[in-house]
Amino acid sequence: MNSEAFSSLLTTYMRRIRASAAGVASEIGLSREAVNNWRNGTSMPGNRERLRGCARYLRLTEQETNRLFRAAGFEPEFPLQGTSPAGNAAPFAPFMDQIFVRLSQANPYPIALLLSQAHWGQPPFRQELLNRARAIYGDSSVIHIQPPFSVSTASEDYFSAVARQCGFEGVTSDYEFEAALEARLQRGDRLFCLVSRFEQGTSELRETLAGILRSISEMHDGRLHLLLCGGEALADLKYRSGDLSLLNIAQVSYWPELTLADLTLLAEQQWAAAISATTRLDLLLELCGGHPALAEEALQWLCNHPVKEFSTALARLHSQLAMSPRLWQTFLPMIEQEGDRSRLRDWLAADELGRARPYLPDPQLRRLFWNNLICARGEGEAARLVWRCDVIRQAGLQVLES
Amino acid sequence: MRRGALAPLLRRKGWFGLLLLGLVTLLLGSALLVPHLNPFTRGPLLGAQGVSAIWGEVNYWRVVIDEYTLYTGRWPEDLQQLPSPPAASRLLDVASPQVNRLVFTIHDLPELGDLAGTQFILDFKPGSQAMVCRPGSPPTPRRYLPINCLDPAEGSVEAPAITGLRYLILFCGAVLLLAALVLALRHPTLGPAHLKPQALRRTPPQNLAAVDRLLGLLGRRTAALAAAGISTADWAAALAFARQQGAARADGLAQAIGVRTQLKSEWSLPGAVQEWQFADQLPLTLDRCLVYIPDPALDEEGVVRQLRTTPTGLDVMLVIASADCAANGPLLQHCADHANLLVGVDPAAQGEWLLSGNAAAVLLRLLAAQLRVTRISPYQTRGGVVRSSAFFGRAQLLARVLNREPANYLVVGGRQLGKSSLLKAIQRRLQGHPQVACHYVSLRDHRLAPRLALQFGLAATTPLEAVIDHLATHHAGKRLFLLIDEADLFFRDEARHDYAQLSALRALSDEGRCWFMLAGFWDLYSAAVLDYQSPLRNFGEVLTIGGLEKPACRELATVPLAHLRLSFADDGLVTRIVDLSGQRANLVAIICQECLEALEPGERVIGSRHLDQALISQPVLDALAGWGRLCHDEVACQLDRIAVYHAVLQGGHTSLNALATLFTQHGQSAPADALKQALARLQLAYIFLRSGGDYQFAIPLFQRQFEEEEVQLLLAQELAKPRAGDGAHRP
Repeated sequence: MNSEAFSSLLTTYMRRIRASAAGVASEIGLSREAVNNWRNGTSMPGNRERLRGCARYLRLTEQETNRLFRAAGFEPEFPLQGTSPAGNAAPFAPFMDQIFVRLSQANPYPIALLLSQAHWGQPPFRQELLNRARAIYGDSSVIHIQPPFSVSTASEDYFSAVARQCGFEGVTSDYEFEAALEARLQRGDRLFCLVSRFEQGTSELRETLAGILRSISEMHDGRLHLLLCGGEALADLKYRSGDLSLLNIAQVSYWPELTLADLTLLAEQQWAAAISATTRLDLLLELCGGHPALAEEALQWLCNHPVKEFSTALARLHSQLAMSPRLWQTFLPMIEQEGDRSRLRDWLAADELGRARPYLPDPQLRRLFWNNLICARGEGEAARLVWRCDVIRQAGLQVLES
Repeated sequence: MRRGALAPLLRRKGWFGLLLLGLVTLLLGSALLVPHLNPFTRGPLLGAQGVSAIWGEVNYWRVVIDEYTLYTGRWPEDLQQLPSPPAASRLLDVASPQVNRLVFTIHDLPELGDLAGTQFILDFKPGSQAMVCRPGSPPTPRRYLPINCLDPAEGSVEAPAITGLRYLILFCGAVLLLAALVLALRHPTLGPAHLKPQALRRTPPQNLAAVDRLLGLLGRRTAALAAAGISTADWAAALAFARQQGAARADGLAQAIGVRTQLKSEWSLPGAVQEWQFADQLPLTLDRCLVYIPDPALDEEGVVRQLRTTPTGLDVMLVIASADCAANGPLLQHCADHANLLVGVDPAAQGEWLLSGNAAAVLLRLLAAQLRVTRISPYQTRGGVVRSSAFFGRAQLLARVLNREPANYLVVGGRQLGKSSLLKAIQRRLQGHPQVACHYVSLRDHRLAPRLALQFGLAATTPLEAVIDHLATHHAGKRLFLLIDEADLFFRDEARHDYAQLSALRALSDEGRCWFMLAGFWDLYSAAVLDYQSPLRNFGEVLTIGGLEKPACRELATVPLAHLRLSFADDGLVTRIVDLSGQRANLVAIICQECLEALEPGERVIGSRHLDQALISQPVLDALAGWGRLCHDEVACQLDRIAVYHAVLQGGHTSLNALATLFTQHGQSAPADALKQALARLQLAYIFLRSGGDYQFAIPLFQRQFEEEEVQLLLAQELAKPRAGDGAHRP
């Protein structure tokens, strides 16, 4: 843990968006003094959830969030997001290419939702995705919007911030933002717009932003290519609210499961020391069930604990990962009520948890899914919800027993 | 050789020609070198050799007859009395059927060739030694009869050589005529114009000038163009195109299809690159493409190399092949690879593009043949349909709006049911109307006036009346009709503010200044139908959007496929799609799109396997989700979910009474009015169809997303949740 690095990072990120200690404090439910103590290096965050809220409020990217978490002594929030080589050697390269192919085919409304479960980032591999977009659309035709997190942001500030992200200066209202975006579209070629963490901010401002984007898409058929990224909240907006017609007409994609090829690439690029002659990444992948955070922890553990026999390492890894703080922090809020505990106990004992579908009507099951503890296996109507791996089940049981 | 083994040989190209050539050579060679062995020359040859012996014997008979008549003064009654030539050398049988006539029948001997078995007649002129001869029956060829004895009355009397020469000349003439005919019909450029006039449409541009010249020389230009269905204007344009080079050629093709073009200078490809923007003419989801005209100095391999090394992005790129591009050459082969987004336009296709009068169909065919069908899908699966070619049905609704005097309308219906498509279809039909100016506006929030003002280039603060005045001035003499989509947020806000803006709209239409068509879902419906205080109640006619008509659903499924020369294996599959989708238009389109996705490369017929795969695809399941929150009132949404879960457990249908009983069974009083509204909302959202008092799922596929065990739990959860004002309902 390096408190100096954390305080200096936090100060940098706060200065970047001119955030005050009081602003951060009110957003994450702490006192102004507590935040000032973080900035001064006199104390460190003890709660992962608060730090996550702080990172969101400061509009940090996945990599910046990871840096802040590491500096605070936590495991990174978005593992497997290190710098990867561009091009086809990048993990998930075929999927990323497919996103752009689908957008180009989705005429007259090239609008897509990219939904990802916890620990994958919104979107995962954002920089790589943007690089690919720049290669396809051109440097000047790619904009990246990350709506402000604050729920208290006024419309003027919200759209001013969003406009600045698009490179529009002097915008003070939603209409000015719309006019600037329209002028930008009329001036040049197609525009690719990546909107990450779309669900952030107040619902009113979000609706206005969605309305603008829909309206512009409507007026300029096929010119504005929109990729909206998010997780559970974005899925809720799409399937539950139904008010945002922007989302109604969007194609939905889910970030794909981690494959052996992707894991191999990631391991070679970021955890080369973890790979020895006996390392069986296929067994490692099975152990982690494709969970990005568990995969990262496992690879990091192998780096730190070189072993001759991989089978021995696997056994030790199993119990090690079942104690993963990230798993425990995910499970703990889900057992606060007795009813939830008993349902979780039943589910942990079951081989499968029901039918997989685009939107799960059961809120608890939905929570398990978006927290990346369960996943869908199988195709179409045969797709079932299952626990990602035994490690997660074991962690869940341990949390229940605790 | 067995027939089976011979068959492939016979099928080989040129084999028959070679055989014919060998046969002709054999016949001609043998006629010249060994005529006695040639079946065609053997007869005349032997005949010519035997004719002198024949005429020697005839002369013998003449002398004998002459002597007899000289001594007796009369024609012999019986030729048997006269001395005969030696029997061994006799070649003729002679008879005298009448006075002064001798009939000679030549013996049927093989060595006499074509003289054998024939007959000729000599008629003597009384009192003289003159005579005339003529063929008998069967006739002796006239060429064997002496020229000085032929009867002039039977035709021209001329020397056999003269006759031969005449035949030779006639033969040569016939040969020349035949050759000219063959030349004209087999001419690589002109032939098709005569044999298959339609083929003239596929004349490569580089051949057009020659064809035009030849057709002009033959005086067949007009007739050939008419037979091929080519207009003279297209022909002239194609001739002009053939003289162009580089980007001008692409301009010519663009002009023929009617697209907007833009030269792109940032490409490193040698040659010219344009961007084409398609309007509404293609029945595909392709809105633009790139067009590459390679540098003429580059050969085909060079062009392929350039295309391989230059990333062409995600746009379809048409490659306009040069005149010397081979049909199976590397460039067209590379373009035909479905792995890339290149589409080769070979010279013949360029000709057809310019001459067929339907360049869009030619482009469509090229795209369908060289790209994956999913890249150029003809189905629009989301949002308001913008292409007229993708809009089917709703004829009655359209007629109700278009065939009447202007009026206000409220279009209500669930999400993705086709409200926006209907509004856009009305706008397309009223475009260019002499008396109506129609504008489509999609609201993004509750603010109507600023939205209208900005759309028409006015300041956002402009009042609604001023915006309408501006439009009225701009469209002087026309009636204004505004189509306002996504109006739910507007109505929600209006309900909160005593319908202030709505009253203004009403005043405008009462004054005859402007009419409105407003589209929305529950907020609009509840304001128009359920709120007795709402000024919307008599604002305009309510048009409810539900399922598409069955024939239109079938057209929606099949017509776009036909554009790509694809089809369903049988009509039953289309019926299945229409039935399972409950005639919901966007679901029909999504299922068809997923059928296309399921096609393997090269497959062109959609079978039941593809349909089964499509029905469980993620986009189809996705289209069925998202019904759990149809309005902003959480309690109302809870009732919606209870009604749906109850219907699932009841085998797909429910009723107000059944729902009331359900509440009673769970110890709660039934909120009758709220339940009625929930059923109306679910009906409007096209979740339920009403039949008397019974409500059943509108879309058979809808029920398949549920599992009974899970639904029981979900229903129990919903019933257990507290509802607003719940205490009042509990017994």
